[in-house]
Amino acid sequence: MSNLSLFAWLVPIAPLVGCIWCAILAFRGEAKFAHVPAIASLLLSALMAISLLALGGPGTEGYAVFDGYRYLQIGGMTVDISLRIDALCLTLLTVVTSISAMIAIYSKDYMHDDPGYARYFAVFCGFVFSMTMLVLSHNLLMLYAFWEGVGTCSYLLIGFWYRKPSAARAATKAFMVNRIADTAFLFGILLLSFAVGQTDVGSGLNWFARLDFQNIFDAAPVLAEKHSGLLTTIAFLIMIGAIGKSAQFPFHVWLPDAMEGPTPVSALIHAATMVTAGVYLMARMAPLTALTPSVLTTVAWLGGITSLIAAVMALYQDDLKRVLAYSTVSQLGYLFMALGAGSVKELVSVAVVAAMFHLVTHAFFKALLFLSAGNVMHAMGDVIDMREFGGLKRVLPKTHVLFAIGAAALAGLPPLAGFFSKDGVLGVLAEASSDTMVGGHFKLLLGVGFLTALLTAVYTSKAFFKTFYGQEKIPAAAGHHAHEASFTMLAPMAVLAVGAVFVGILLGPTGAIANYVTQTPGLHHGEHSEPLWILALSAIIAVAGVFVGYVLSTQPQTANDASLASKLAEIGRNRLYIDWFYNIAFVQPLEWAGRFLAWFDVAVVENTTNSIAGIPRLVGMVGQRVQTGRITAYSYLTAVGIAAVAIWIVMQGNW
Amino acid sequence: MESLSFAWTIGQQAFDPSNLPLVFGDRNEGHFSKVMLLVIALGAVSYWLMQRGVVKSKPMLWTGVGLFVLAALMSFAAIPTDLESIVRMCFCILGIGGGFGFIIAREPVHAALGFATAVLSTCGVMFMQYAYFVSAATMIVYAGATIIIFLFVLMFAQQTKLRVYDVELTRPAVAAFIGLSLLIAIAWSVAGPEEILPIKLDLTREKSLAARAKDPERELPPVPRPGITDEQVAEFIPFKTSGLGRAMYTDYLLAVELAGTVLLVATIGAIALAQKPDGGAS
Amino acid sequence: MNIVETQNLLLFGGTLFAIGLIGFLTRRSLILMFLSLETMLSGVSVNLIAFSKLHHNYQGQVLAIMILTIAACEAAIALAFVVSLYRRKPTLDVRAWDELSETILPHEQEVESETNLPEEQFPSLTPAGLDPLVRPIPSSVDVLLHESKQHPSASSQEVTQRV
Repeated sequence: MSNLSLFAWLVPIAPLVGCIWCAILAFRGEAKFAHVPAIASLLLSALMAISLLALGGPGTEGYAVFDGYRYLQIGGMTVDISLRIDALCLTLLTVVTSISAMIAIYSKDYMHDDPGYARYFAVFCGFVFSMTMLVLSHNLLMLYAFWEGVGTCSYLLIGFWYRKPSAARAATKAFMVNRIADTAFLFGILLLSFAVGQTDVGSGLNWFARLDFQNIFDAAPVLAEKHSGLLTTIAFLIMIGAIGKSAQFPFHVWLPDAMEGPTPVSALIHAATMVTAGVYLMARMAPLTALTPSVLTTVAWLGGITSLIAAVMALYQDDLKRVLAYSTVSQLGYLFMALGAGSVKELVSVAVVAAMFHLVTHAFFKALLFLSAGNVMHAMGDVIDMREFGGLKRVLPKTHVLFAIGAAALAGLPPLAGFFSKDGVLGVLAEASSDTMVGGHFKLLLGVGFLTALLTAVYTSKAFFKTFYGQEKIPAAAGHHAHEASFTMLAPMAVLAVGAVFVGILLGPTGAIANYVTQTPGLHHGEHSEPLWILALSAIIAVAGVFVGYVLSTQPQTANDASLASKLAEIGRNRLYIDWFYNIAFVQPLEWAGRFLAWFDVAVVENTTNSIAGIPRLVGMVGQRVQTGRITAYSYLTAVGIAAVAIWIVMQGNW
Repeated sequence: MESLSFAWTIGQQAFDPSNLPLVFGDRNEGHFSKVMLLVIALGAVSYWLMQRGVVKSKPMLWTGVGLFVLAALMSFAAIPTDLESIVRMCFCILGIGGGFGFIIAREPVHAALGFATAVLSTCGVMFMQYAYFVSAATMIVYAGATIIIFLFVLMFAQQTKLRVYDVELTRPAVAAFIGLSLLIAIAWSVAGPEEILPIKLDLTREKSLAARAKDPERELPPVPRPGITDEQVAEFIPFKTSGLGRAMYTDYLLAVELAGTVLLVATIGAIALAQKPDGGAS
Repeated sequence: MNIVETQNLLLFGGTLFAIGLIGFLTRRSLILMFLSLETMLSGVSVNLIAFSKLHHNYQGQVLAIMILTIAACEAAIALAFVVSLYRRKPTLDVRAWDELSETILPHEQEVESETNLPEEQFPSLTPAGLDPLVRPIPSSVDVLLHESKQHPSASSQEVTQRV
């Protein structure tokens, strides 16, 4: 088993070494070959992950824990850094590492000539390190630590061009919104540790060890019997953490602004990996959340609302990257809807399988779409507003093909990957809707799912046709950039395109992913087949949506139209005024309070302190008057002193 | 000097202090006469008037002088009326007058004259206290060498013109007040007779005692031993210069040698200080 | 009488000392200040001689001689000082020497430095959505609300601005 341990440890350690190496290069200012350690370490990490998968992973037991490094030992409490691998973890790990390696190769050409080249790769590798450690962690608290690490690297990468005020603001917004959600997450973790300590499974363990996943899973049924209210609260708080990281309503506001970062960053973090951490958390805690159906129903509803409103907002955006961002949010909503279907007891495994399947396919085609948008942006001289360019099919032929593949996969056209995975989600929703207790919810959610699928197809094809078809228009800022991307940029995209085409067929209908993921302890095998009507209906919806999108893309822009559609467009463009509401409800009062405190600090506290500090100066100034330097004055003082002493002695009366 | 000692003995028996006519104060032995306080106060006022008068107006000056004369005359009322006392008081008044003249004079040379007067008066007083050598030495050093040096420096630094720093005084009222309070404190401290021990033993006399053992003819202060009477002790008057010399070079030899060393160091220091900055000897 | 004589002489010595003190405080010429010092010393000498007479021993006289000696040394060094000071500034005024005085420095202002960074060219996204700091009140929402109350189907003549 030592081989497995070595492979497992190499997966996070290689990007860490790459990160440190690139950081050193960044500090020394030698950035020209910074991509070499980054790409090499990421390729090694991907290779290790794939070999772990190929070697049969953790074997018959279902999971394996590899001890690493004793981080802390205080009294009876020990904090270890260890890795836990099981089927669920390896699935996501493979996706994360391979897509990271592809995007790193892409970034080599995209980010060249940027002054922060080495810094980019350093934070990139740091991100991959945190993400892999998050996926591989064996303890919920360790997962939380790397959760924060991932958030930090996201902040650093969104605000990569930190001198640009909007980028800095967007990075702060992302971090703040995540932080709010993570606070609830932390409360959930601490409550969980306390709760596990109440059971006899965990009562003998120290505070940190109680949060080992195995201990949590063992203690969960006991908790569900005795303290079901506590368990519901814990699951709710953990859900909030997942929602914050994965940009669901009401924490979705950071993801569209996160497009201020470089496009490869958007592809990696905000499409394929970081935002899926929330889904991974919910999947990991499935044995726990399966015992709290109310929380899962809330999850499903939040996912549904998010996917619908994100799809609506995506419809009205003019910016290609923002369309893709909203579509990410919408697809993540799908994932949460699928996970939420686990509130029906027997559907937990199927729900997790469906979510993981859609996660894998979505990672491929969304990364592909973002990289294509990056090609367009690079060629158009950093202009990404779809109104500024058009008809790029002739200028960027290969990108056109790759974007088409990605868009078709996103829209759900058969037989591409998105079709099968979206069907998996809709199928599990349909099964859940036949449940007696919560079936009503899921019927509605199924309708929401279909509507969102339609809207997805509409806006995807609208964006595609607007960009690549129509009258050819190249903005002036493009200059000499308006040519096809280089081989270094196209090759990874081709790999991703292959994945987007074939992963769906290979994994879904064959049941490979279902069989594999259910090897995770806590999930059990289940027979599940898709009802045929869902397959047919989703195919029809996809084709119809593509057609509607084509029609919409050819419509001219009407600027000043007072019709209802235009007003809806206005609302959609302004992100349904959710940001505006957050601003006046939370941000402005806090800023006002901050300004007041700043005024208070300067006017009151600082003035008081300065006045107190000025007292020695005043005393000194008084004392300075005595030091005139004139002998006469000094002799006067001496004489006064002598006379005073003499009088005092005389008045004593005694010698 | 034996005649004076004889006169002294006679005087001691003839003039009992309790028989003296006192103008003010109680008839207690040795009690300090309160008239001296008034004299001190008048003296301070007269000083202030005189120095104002020198600057401002002649009448003020003469008023101050008049007050000074009045104070001097009043002070004669506080002493017993024998020749020695009167002469001593004259010397005191002369000395104080010279001091006043010294501190209010405009011309520096006039101030030097006042200083010389004060010093010579102190020499006279010391002479009357049988301190012959000390008074002679004082005359030579103060009234001689110091005045001469002063005149030399004045000629070196000032030639003849009168400068502003000679004329103006710095806050004389405050200074007079300080001096007055100091004097009152001194007067108060000498007021109590019981605090001045009339007979004080000379405790550092081993060497002179040893010398006397070798040579009993020498004139030395009486040794405090049981059996000696106060009159015998009181009879001794330290008036011989040879006795002073013997006491200096036997009992206080260390002090004398150190004084000589200090003189040497001061001489070298003065020469070193007064050199020109570029190293040439002045 | 002994006591009275001694008291008077002590008072005389004290008076000479006080006169010397007043002279030292009030005079501005260096040599006259020095002469006042000598006056003070002579007052002390008188004091010592009076005590010598009172106690019938040589202690006071010997100490008076020591004082005389020290006064002589002091005279020598003080006048050497006066000469060397005169070489620096050609005046005998004691007020000329006040270079040990404290000068009151003004309060230092904190210096704030500004850094100017060169502007780089950054890629820019289309502004999407409302910038709440620029448009605090969305007019279209107001219009929509007003319309929904009065005439749901009437079309307003207002021009909706693009954000």
